[in-house]
Amino acid sequence: MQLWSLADADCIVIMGSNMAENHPVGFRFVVQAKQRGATIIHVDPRFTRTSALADLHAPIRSGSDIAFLGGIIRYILVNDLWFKEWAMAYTNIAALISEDYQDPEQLDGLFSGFDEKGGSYRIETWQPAGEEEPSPLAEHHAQHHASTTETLFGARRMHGPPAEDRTLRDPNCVYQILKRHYERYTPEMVERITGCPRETFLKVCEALTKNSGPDKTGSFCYAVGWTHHETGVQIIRAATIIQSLLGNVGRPGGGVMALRGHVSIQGSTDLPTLYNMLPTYLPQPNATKPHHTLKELLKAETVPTGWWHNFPKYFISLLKAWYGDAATMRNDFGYSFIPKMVGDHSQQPSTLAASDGVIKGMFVFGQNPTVGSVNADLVERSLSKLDWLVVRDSFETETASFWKKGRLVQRGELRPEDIGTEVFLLPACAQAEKDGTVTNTGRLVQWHDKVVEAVGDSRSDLWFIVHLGIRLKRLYAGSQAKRDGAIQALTWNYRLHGQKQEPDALQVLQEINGRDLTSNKLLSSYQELRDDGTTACGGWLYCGITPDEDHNQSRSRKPDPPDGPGTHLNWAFTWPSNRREMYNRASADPEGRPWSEAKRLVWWDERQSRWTGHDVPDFEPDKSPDYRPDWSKDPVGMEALSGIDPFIMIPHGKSMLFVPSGLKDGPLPTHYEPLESPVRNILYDRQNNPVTKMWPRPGNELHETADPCFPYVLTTFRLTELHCGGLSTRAMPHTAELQPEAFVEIPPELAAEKELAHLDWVILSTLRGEIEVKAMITNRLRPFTIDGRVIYQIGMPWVFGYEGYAHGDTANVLLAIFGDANTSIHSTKALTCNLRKGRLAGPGGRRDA
Amino acid sequence: MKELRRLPRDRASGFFKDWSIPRQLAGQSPFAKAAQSEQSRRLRPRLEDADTIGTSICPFCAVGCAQLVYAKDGKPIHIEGDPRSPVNQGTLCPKGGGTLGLMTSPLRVNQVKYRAPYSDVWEEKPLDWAMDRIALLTKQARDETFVEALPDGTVANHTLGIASVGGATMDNEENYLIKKLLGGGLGVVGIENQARI
Amino acid sequence: MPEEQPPSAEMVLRHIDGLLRRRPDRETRDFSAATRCFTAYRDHVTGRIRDKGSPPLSLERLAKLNAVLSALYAVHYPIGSPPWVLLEKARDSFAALAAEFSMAGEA
Repeated sequence: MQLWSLADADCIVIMGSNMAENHPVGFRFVVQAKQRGATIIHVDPRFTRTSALADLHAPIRSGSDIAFLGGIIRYILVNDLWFKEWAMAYTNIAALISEDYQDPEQLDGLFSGFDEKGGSYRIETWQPAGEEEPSPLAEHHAQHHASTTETLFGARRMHGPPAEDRTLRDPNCVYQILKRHYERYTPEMVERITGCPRETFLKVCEALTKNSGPDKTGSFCYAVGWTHHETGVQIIRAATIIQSLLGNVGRPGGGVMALRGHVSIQGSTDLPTLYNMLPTYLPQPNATKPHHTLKELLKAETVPTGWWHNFPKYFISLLKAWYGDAATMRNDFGYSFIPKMVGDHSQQPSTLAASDGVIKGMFVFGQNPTVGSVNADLVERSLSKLDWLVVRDSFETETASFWKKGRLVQRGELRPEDIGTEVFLLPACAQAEKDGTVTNTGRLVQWHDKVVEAVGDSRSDLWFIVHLGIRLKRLYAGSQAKRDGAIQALTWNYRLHGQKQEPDALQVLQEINGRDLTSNKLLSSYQELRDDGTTACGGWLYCGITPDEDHNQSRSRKPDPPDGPGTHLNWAFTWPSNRREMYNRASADPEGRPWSEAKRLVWWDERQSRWTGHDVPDFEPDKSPDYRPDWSKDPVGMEALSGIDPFIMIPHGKSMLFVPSGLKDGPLPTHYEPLESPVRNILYDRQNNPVTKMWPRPGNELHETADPCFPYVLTTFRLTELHCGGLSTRAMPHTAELQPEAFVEIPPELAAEKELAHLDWVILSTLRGEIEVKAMITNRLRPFTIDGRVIYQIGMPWVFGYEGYAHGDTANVLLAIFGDANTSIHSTKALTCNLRKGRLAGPGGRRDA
Repeated sequence: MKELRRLPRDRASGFFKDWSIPRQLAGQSPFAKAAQSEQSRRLRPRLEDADTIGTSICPFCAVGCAQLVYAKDGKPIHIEGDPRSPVNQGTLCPKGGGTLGLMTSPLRVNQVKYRAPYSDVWEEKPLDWAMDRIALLTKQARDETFVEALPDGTVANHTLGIASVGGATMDNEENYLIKKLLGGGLGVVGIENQARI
Repeated sequence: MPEEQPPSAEMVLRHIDGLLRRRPDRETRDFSAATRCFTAYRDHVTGRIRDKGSPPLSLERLAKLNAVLSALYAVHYPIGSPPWVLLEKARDSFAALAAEFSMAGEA
C-alpha cells in the first residue's frame, strides 16, 4: 500500500515498529488519520514516541507477537465480527483441506508431516481436499518441493474450482480449522504469554473490529520488529489473516504496511541483489530442482492458472536482455549461463561459510556487516579469512577497517600481521552526485538527479560495476573455455559520459523497461512481452517506466491537487503498470460496486464494460464481475480466474487464510517461544519453531530456555538520528552530536535490583560476547508479568561502532546467527542476556577500568 | 541566512537608529516593520546564491522523501524537502534534514585506500590501479573456484568463491547491473543485500 | 605468516565419511570442521596449480574439486532436506580426484 493511504484509515495498529521515531515522515499520515478521528494503537515492548502519540499502547514481551495476533483472530471468529461478504468472496475461508491434516492442537505444537530427523515438514497433508496428487516431478523432489513457484505461490495443477463448503460447517473447511487452531488464544492466555493486560488487549480487538467493514478500513504497520524473529514470516501472516477476515486489503486505508529501512531496499529486492531470485521475482534456477534445462524450468515453474502463467515470457525476455544476440532459440536463449544455486546462499550461512574458508573474495556495497549483522565478532573472523575484500562506501566503515581497528584486533585476538585479507576501500558517490532511481516502501520508483560532481575519486556504484565489467570482458575476451561464455555473451554496451566516463543511468533503466527487438522500440507494458525471443526486458514488473525515449515516468513530478483523487498517478512510477494499490479489485464488491462511498477506489463501469476508478485497476480491464471459467475447456492463465478473484498472482485468485504450500513452518501461524527465552511455552510442549535454521558452533552458541545465567530478554532498536549500521549518520556532524554514544535502556525495578544509577557503566553478556555501555534507567520499559513471574526486558540501539563522531559498543556482538525457516532473516528482537555493573577490563581488555 | 559583515564603528553609530525596541514600545507592531533592523533588512536567503537546483530522494529510509538540492559553483549549499511531493510535502526528518552534512562531512573518503595483505597501514592508490587489480583478483578467484557440474553431473556453472553484500542503499540500476555482471556474467550465487537483515 | 601443513586427502575423506555415516541433521559443528579441512586442502592444491601457471587441464580438475565443496555446502545449508546422495557421489569423486592431483604433483 502507499504511505499516504494510511491517512484514509479508521484504525491503525503499529506493531513491530517504532514508526514515529524511525519513519517520522511516513508517520505524518498516521497523525493525519488521527486528526480525522482514527484510533491509533501501538503494540510494543517499549513506550516510545509512537506510543506517546497513539490512543492506546499495548505492551507485549518481545517475541510474543503471534500469541497477541492469534488472540485477535480468535476474538474476530468467536464474536462473529468478520466481514462476511468480503471474506466469503475473496478468501479461501470455505476451502476444504485434506482430512489427513492435523493441527498443533492435536500434535502438541507440531503440524502434521513433520520429519523429526530432517527437521523439516512434508506438506502433503496441508493440501486442499480432492486436489490431484503432485506431478511425478514433484513426487521425485517432494522434500525439496517441485518448484520455487510452488513454494512461493502454492501452485498446483488445477483442473477445476477448489472444493468448498460454503455453509462453513464441514470440520475440514478453513473456517473450522482456524476456529479450532486459535481456540485457546483467549484474552487470559494472551495476558499470560505476552504480559499485556487482558483489558488492554480487548480494547485493541474492539477498536480494530469496530473500524473495519464496508465503510471503514484499518491498517497494520510493521518494520523489522516483526521480521527479525525466527517466526517473522508467520507474524506477518497472522496480520494478513486478520486483514483478510476484516476485508482490509486492496482498499483505501486498508492493508499491511511494511516500513522498510533503506532508500531502495524495495528496489534491491525487485531488481534483486539476492541469491534466490532473478529480476522482479523470477526464480533463480536451483541445481537440486528440475531446472536442468530451460524447458524443464519452464515446465516446473509455470503455474497453470493466474497471472504467473505468463512466466515464460518474462524469463525468456530477461535472457534476451542479458545475453542479446548470443541468446537464441537453439541454445535455450543462453539458459545455461545462469548459475544454479545449491542451497541457502544468504548472508548468514555465507558468513559461516566464509569463516570456514569457502569464500575467497567479497564485494561490500554500502553495507556495514561488522555493525549491522548478528554475531559481529564472527563476522570479523569471516572477513579475516578472505583473500580480498572490496568495500564501496563514502566513509571508512568498521567493515573496511576491521584489520586495523576491529574488536578482535583491539582485544589482541588477531593482529594485522596475521590477517592476509587484501582490502580496497573505494569512495562512493552520494545520491545527489549521480542519476538513478530508487524504489520506496510503497513500490514508488523515483528518479533523482545528479546535481553536483563528487569530489576526488568518488564514483557511482554504476561506474564501478560498468567499468569492472569492461575490464573483465577484456580479460576474458580471448578465452575458448565454455565456462567463460556467459561473460563473453553478456550485453555490456553502456554509454559513458564526461571526463569520468560515468555510465548513463537512463540507458540501464531503459534496459530494465525492455524493448521490442523487431522495432527496437521501448515497451510500454509487460503485456507486450513474448516468449519467442523477440522482446528483451530486464525486469518485467518495471516495464512501462520509460515507455518512450523521451518519457521517463519515474522523473514525473505532478502531484494531485488537494481536492483529489489522491492517488498521485503523475508523481513518479509505481510498479506494476503505475498501479498504486495492489489487488484493488477487492475495493469493489463481487458485483463490481464500491463497498461504500467513503472507500471508493476502483469499480466496474457497466456502460463501458470496463474497470475504472481513481487507480489503475489491478484486474483485466474488461473482465466482467460475472465472468466464470468454463472448466470443461481446461482454462489456463487468467481464463481460469473468475470476475470475483482479485488476487490474480495467486493461482486460485483468493487470499489464503490457510496456506497449503509456500511456507516451510506450517500453514497457520502458531505461537512458539523465541529460540532464547526466559519462559516455557505455555501453549504447547514444543518450545520453539521446530524448523528454525540453526547453525550452532563454537562462537555461535545459544542459551537454553530459562537459563538462569541469562535471565533477561534483550531487544535491539534504532534511533531517529542514527541510520542503521551504515556509518553515514555517525559521520554526519549534527546527527552524531544528537546521539553521541551508546546506551542500554533498563527498567527502574531491574536497576534497583542491580544497584544501578543512571549513566553507570554496565556490561551486557551472552555466550557470543560481551560489551559495555552506559545505563539509561527509564520507565519506557516496564517489567512484564509472564504467567505469574516477573520478567525484565532491556533494549539497546544497534547503530553504534567505533568509527565516525558518535561511538559506542556494537549490540550485534551479543546476538547469534540463526534464522527464519522461510527467509533466513536473522533474529535481533528477542534473545536473552545477562547484565552486570562495571566495565570490561583485564588482559585483552580495551579500556582502563 | 547570510550575514553581511559590518565594521564595529558602523555598528555603534547605527545601533540606536536601528534599535527596534523603542519603536515597538511606541506602539508599532512587533510582527511588522518595527521589528526590522538595518541588519535584518540586509539579510538575504543563501539559496539566492544557488546556481543549480536539482531534485533528489532522501538517501536514508524507504519512505522516499523528495528533496531539493541547491548548489553553487559545483558544491552543495543546502538541501530541503520538496514541497511538491505527496510523500513528504516539504518535510524531512533529522536524518534527511542533515543530508548536506552527509555530503560535506570531513570524514568522507575521497581517495582509494588500499591495505596489502598482512600490512598494518592504509596506502592511497590511484583508482585505475585499484580497478585493474580488483578485476584481476575477481577473475582469479572465479577461475579457481568455478564449478561447471556437480558430482552427480548436474550443470551448475557457478562459483561459491565470490560473494557480494549490499545494494539497498543504492540505485535500482546499480543493483540490476551487480546481479547481471556477478550473477549472469561470472556465475556468483552468493549475492545478498540488507533485505534479509 | 608461516605456512601450515596442508591436510592430506585422507583427512578430508575421513571428515566426509564421518558425515555420511552420522548424517548429522541439526548439529553443524562436524560440517564446519569438514569444510575447514576441505578448503585448506583445496587452497593448497590451488596454490600448486597457480604456481604451474594454471594450465587448463588443471583448472578443469580444480573445478571438479570445487564441485565437491558445492555438494558439502548443499548438505550443510540445504533448502529443504539435505541432499545426502549428492554428498555420496561427491565423496567418490573426491577420492578419484585426490589420486589425480597426487599424480600430477598438485597435492
